[in-house]
Amino acid sequence: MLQVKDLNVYYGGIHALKGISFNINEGEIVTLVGSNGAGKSTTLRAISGLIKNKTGSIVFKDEEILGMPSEKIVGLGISQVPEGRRIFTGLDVEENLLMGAYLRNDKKEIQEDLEYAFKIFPRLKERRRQAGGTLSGGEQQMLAIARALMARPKVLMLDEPSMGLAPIVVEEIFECITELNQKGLTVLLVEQNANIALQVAHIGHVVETGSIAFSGNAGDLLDDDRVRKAYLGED
Amino acid sequence: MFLDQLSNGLALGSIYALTAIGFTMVYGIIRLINFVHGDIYMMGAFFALTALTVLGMPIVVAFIIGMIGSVVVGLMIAKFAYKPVFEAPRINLFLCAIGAAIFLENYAMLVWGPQTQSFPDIITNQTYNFLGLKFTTLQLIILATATSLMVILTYIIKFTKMGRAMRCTSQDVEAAKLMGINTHHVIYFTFAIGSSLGAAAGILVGMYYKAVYPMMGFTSGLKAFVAAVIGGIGSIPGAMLGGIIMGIAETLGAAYISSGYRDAIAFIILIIILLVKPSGILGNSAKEKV
Repeated sequence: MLQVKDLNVYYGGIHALKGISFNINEGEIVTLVGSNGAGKSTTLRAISGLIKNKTGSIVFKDEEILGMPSEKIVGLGISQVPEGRRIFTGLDVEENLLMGAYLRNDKKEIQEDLEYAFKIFPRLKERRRQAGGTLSGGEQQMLAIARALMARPKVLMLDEPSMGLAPIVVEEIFECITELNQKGLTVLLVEQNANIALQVAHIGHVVETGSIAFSGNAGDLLDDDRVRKAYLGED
Repeated sequence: MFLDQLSNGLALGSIYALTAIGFTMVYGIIRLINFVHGDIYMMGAFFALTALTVLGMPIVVAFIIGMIGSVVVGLMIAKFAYKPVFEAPRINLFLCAIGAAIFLENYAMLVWGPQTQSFPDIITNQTYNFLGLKFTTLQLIILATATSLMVILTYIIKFTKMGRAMRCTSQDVEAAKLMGINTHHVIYFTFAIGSSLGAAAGILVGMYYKAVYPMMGFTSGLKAFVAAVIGGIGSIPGAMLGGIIMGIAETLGAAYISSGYRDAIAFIILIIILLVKPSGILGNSAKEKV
């Protein structure tokens, strides 16, 4: 569904991604794990078109999207839940959700999706008239996910959804990701918390200093000695 | 005397408010102190004056032509002076703004001449009494025009899709892009609205003081900027409030202290606000939850 081939990204003089390649098939959860600064977020940002200085190829459903502006990529069906949530703090919860549906014009269905989002995250419904900035971290993460879903994406990319959240909230969020995937959503997940990411994912890629060090089935990676030592903190 | 000055101040203040909104909107969206805004305001006045005197159009049509002309100028400046340096450090953008301002001032001198031109008397002034406040017809027209433009603007920002896109873009450009918002369109739209309001203010000032000249945008631009800062730069209600405060303070100051201090009063208020509440009256000082 999504093929990334030999993706290179430069930040000024820094070669941040050195030829990353991977595929995502429809219905999969694919995760990129790795330490801080390895280039995981950069990969997502490049796919979303937020980074200009890049070479290689990103093909989504047989269409090259590498040079496309972000809004077109969203329109094709790739939505991102950015690192740090980035919700619109001055807009209320409902307005935030409606922004997710910015490119859609089917008013009735948007309304249905809004109700659906409130069904998945009932806590958002309680706070629908509250400004986004007044929500707790976990609620903001839910809002960011729900907002991305409002675009009816075919691929949902999540950047560090566990960041800064209490373990119980992290579990809740990942349960929700699994559920969405079971309903047919394709997911690309970037996480520093390799343990939980590999538990929910089908395929894992370990990213180190701008390239993929090794890949495999998520379950196998969880048992892999290299992963256990470097990312799960075991001896 | 106090009430006379108050209605005077309200009229002037609503003009400042209109100008300040343009400043604050552009700042909100691309973090640029758009120093060309005062000159857009001047261009609007000249366009309307030309339509009125040379082309002999009725005032309402001339008013709209002035606004449309300024929108075109504003968009051209955004496209040719700002767009090429959008990604560059803000100081480059700022220098381009100053350059564009100098260009417009000289362009106006070239086309219309450096001397002050008088704006024809179109409205026969009558005085109306509201609860002791005395308004002339012209003052009422200014207040009504400014108020209705601000109501329309508030409606656009609050309830339309483009308005929501503007609010999002001003909060977080990248997140806005991830929603599928074409942020370039939003930026141009903001320039268009800001320029049209600036032009409206310029034309109203021309009608009020019956004078239009190429440098008229300089002080007013500066004062509108001050009004925007007083209200809290980036906040549209703040700009409205800041404008009204400035207008009233200026007329009352001129009446009770000395008219020589007229322009100084704006900056005295600015200093006080910056000392007491640097983010402005309605400005939100970065309170973000991480």
